Amino acid sequence: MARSLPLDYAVRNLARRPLRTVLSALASALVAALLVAASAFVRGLDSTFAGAARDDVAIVLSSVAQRDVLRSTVSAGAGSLIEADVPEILRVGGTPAVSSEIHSGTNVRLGPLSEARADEVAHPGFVRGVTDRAFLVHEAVTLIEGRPGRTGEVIVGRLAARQMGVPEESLAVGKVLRFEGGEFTIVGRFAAPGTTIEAEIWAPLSELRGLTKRDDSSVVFVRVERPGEFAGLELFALRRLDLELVVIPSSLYYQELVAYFRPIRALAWIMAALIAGAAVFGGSNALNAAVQDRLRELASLCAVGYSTWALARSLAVEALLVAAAGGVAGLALAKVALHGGSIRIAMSAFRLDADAHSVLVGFGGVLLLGLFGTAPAVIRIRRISIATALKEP
Amino acid sequence: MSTRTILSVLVLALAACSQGSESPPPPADPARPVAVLPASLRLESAPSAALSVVEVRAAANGTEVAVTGRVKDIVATRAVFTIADLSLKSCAEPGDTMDCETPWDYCCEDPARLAAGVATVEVRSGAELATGTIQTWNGLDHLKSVVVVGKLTKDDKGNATIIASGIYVQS
Repeated sequence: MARSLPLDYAVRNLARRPLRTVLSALASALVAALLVAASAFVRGLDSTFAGAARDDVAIVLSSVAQRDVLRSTVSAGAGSLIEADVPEILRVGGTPAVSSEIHSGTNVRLGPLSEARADEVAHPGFVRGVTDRAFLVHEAVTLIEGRPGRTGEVIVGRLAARQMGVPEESLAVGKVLRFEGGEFTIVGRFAAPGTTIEAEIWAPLSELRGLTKRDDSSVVFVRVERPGEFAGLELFALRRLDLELVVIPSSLYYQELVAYFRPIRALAWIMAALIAGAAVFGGSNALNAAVQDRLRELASLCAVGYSTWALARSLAVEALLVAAAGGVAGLALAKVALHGGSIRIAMSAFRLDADAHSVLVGFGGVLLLGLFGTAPAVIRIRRISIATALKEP
Repeated sequence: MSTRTILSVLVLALAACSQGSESPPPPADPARPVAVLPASLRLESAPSAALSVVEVRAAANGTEVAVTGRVKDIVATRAVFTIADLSLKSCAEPGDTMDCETPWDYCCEDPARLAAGVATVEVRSGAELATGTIQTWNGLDHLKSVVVVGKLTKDDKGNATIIASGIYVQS
């Protein structure tokens, strides 16, 4: 049986050149943190849209809006007509789960008009005009503070402040917001984990209609009794051609949004891969130099009976130890850096979460890269000529 | 004969077999079962003097009509579809440079013209709508030219629905 070098040989070797070991570990740490961040970003982006998708909810919007809820305008009475015509609609306590809504990107100002300053800043915000029925359709929404809004009142998602780029406390319950010429007191805050809704401001539908001088809605969300049972809705849209409606299952709508952001996801991974590649080449170079420095020692080990594979394994252990130590530091760095972080994207925002999947990607990735980095050094060892190496100065 | 030669021959033989065999037809989508419709619904030839969709929308309620148009939307679980007037431009016309994934939604057309040039076609089984989609029935699909014979019903909003008794699908 071939002899193996003991583990403490690899550990001692690391301690022989502490600066090089520390620098290699730091590089591994940065790569691990970067992989975790990239994974958290991509997963956050995906789950934000996927979270809002439901198999039993369809979106009814204008057929000429080309699936853009902000451009869509449907008759204000469309919701009532759908309720009356479509038997498959879910009823909760006798109330149909049909929510007519206005979706609007608007400028939001902080504080009451009486305290307005000439140089105050308008913040871009996403306002959704809703009735209480919205809670029947958007099940992910949970009030975490306060109560639903009435006239002159709004509730805000817990990522709304981040989306607007304002401090968290400026959207606390009791604060006042102004938009579309109206003044609204915040009476509640809501969570809607893993959905775009969390970055929105919800205002009363009828009041928003009045302020925006609209006599229509943007869309109607409809929840049916059984997942995918949208035939009645489709029939309604095809029979009432005068309303110019199109029905899109929410799962399909959000799937299309995910596809829209695919290039951004790809870019995040490409950037991570490029930096990881640079780290692999750097680490590989350092390891190769280490082998060159220890050529006589390695040749001596071969001369006393250790195979070149045993030397290669010991070298791989060294690389893995450095990668693992750096990986753990990188995970801690990512955890601290991403904690409570969120990303603004278009009219929405999503949380960055270093979850188990991202940790696995970061740590596993850095170990694999560490292993790959040993390849040139291993090839060098396999080609070692004992007689020549022993004569090395 | 070396092992490498035997393996090469085997790989080549397998590749030749796979090229020669016919690929099986795609399985039917279980989420979109095709409607089982009476044979009498299928027309062997196009009825003469079929009206356009725009003309049919102007016809009197309750009349028997023959209307020609192109298939627009198709319902997934009922034998219902809409037809668009032949004068309307889909996004799949020759020379159209737009890369549209759903050209049958006529998104390139003026919405007012579109609203005036579309009618609904329903196939009933007794008093109820026939269940299952009509897509693929007799080759019927999006943007296929069809002639539909049936009874016209109109509501007070001007929406026209033809209860089909016969459908001719142009090949």
